[in-house]
Amino acid sequence: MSQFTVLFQKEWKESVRSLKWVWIPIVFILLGIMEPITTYFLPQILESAGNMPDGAVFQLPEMTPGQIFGSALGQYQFIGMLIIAFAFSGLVAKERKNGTAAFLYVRPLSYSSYILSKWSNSLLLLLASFVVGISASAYYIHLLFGEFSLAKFFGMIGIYSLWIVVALSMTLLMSALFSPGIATALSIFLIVFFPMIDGLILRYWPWTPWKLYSYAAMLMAGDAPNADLWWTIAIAVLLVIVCVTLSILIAKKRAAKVTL
Amino acid sequence: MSGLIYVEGLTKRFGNETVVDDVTFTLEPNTATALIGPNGAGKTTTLSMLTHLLEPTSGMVVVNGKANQDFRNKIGFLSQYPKFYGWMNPLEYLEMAARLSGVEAKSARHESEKALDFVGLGDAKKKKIGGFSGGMRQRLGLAQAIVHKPTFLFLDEPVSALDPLGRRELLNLIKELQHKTTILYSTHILNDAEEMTDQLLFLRKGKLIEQGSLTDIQQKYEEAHYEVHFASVEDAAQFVDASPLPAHQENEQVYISINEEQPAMQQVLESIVHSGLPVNKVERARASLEQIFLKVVNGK
Repeated sequence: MSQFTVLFQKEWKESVRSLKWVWIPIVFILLGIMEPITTYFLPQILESAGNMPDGAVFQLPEMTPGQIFGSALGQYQFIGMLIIAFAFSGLVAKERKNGTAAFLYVRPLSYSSYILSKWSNSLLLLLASFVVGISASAYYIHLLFGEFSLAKFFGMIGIYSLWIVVALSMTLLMSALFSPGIATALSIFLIVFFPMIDGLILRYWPWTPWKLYSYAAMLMAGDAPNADLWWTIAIAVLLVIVCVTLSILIAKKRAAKVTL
Repeated sequence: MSGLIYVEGLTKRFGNETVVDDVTFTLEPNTATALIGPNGAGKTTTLSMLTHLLEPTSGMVVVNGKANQDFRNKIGFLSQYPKFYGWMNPLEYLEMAARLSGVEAKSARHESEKALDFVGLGDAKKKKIGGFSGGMRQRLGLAQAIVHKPTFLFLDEPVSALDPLGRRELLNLIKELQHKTTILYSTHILNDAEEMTDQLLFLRKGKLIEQGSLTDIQQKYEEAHYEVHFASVEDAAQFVDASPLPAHQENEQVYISINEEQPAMQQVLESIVHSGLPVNKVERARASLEQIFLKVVNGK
C-alpha cells in the first residue's frame, strides 16, 4: 500500500506539472458546450454567413435536450477518445523506452502498485474532466433547450464514464504491451476507430462495451434501460478487470525491455 | 548483514546468440570488483541479470547463501546514462526512490538529504532535474543508488560518459563507498579499474576469460623488460650487435626481455658501460593494465 501511495503521488505531481490537469478539463468543457451553442445559434450563423438567396427559408428540425446530449457525447466519442489515445498511451511504454523506469524496476517494485497508480490517477483526471465538461454542457442545454430528466442525466454520466474506464484500461494495456508508437496506433484503433465500425461488424451482438456510447445516448433520448444494457455493463466491467490484470502481469514480464 | 554473492554458470541466450556464457565468480563482502571487457562483451547483460531486469537462461545467483532469490531491496544500481523525471527535483526523486526500496516514510527525507549532501547536490536539491548537466545527473544517479543503504552496489559504466573532471569527482565518491559496500562495476576505462579494485573479471564474447586480483593478473601477464634509450639509432644498432643479451631494437630504443634466467639490471648496465655508448635512459618496465587488457581480450 505504501508503494501505491508513493507512486500515486508521483503520477499526481506529473499530471499536475505537465499541465494535464489544465488542458484536458478545458478541452472537455469546450467539447461539452460546443454542441448546444452551435446548434442553438445555427440559424444566425447561417444568416451571417451571407450568400443565401433572398427568401430562402430554413426548416431546421426542433432538437430535444436528449438529442443535443447525444451529439455532445459524439464529440467526446471522437475528440475525447483521441485525447485519451494520445495522452495516455505512453503511460507505461514511454517510461520503459526513455529509461526512467529502470530505477523503478531495479527496486523491489510492486507491479500492481505501479500499474494501478497510473490507472487510478489517469481515471481521476479523465472522469473529473468528463463530469465537469458534461455538466457545462447540461447548463447550456438547460438554458437554451429546456428541461431534461436529472435521473437520466446521471444515468448517462454513469454509462459513459464506464466507457471512459474501458477506453483507458485498453489504452493502458496497449501501453504495457508495446513500444510507444505502436501503443498509440493500436489505442486509436481500439477506442476511436473500432467504436465506429462496431455497429456494423458486431451488429447482432448487442453486448459489446463499444456500444456503451450508444446506450448512454439512447438513455438520454428516452429509451428505458433494458437487459442488453446490464449485460453490456457486466461485460465492460469484466473487460476492465482483464485489461488491468494483464497490464500488471505484462509490466512484470517486460522488465527485460526496460532501457538501461 | 554481509554482502556475499556467488554466481555460478550464469548464462543468457537471446535466440541463438549466447550473450553471457557460463560465467562463474564470487563477490566477497565489502570488496570492489571491476567487470572489464570491450563493448558487447556481456557486461551490461550480466549486471541486468544480477539486478533482476533479465531472467538468466541458466545458472544461479547465490546471495548470502540463498539461491535465486529476489534481493532487489539490497541493491543499489546506477546505469551509464541514468534517466530521471525532468519535472521532479532531486529531493522528491530520492524520497520516492528511498520509499520504493523500503525506507520508512519518517526517515526517507532525512536519508535523501544525507545522500544528496554526500554527492554534493545539497544546494541543488530543490532545482528541477531537467536542467542538470551530465555530471550532476550521474551524481544524482549515485545518490539514488545509495539512499537506501544497499548491501550491493552495481554500477554499469558509471563514469564512461563523463568529462575528466566529472569522472574524478564521481570516482572519488565511489572510492569513499569502497570497503563499506560490495561493489561490482563494469568499465572499459582501465585506469579506473586500476585505481579502485580488489578483483578483476575479464569478459570477452560473454565468457569470463580471466579473473583475479590486480597484482595476480599483472604478475601472470607481466612481460617485464628493460628499456634502454640511446642517443642515436646508430648507437642502438651497434649495441644490439655487440651485446650478448637477447635484445631487439626499435629506433633509438633497445628492449631487453626478462626471461627465466633473468638478466639482472647489473648485467644490462655492465653491457652498456662495456659498449661505451652514450645512453639517455634505462628503465625496468612492466605491462600496464591496458597492455594486459589487450593481451587477455585478444586471446594471446
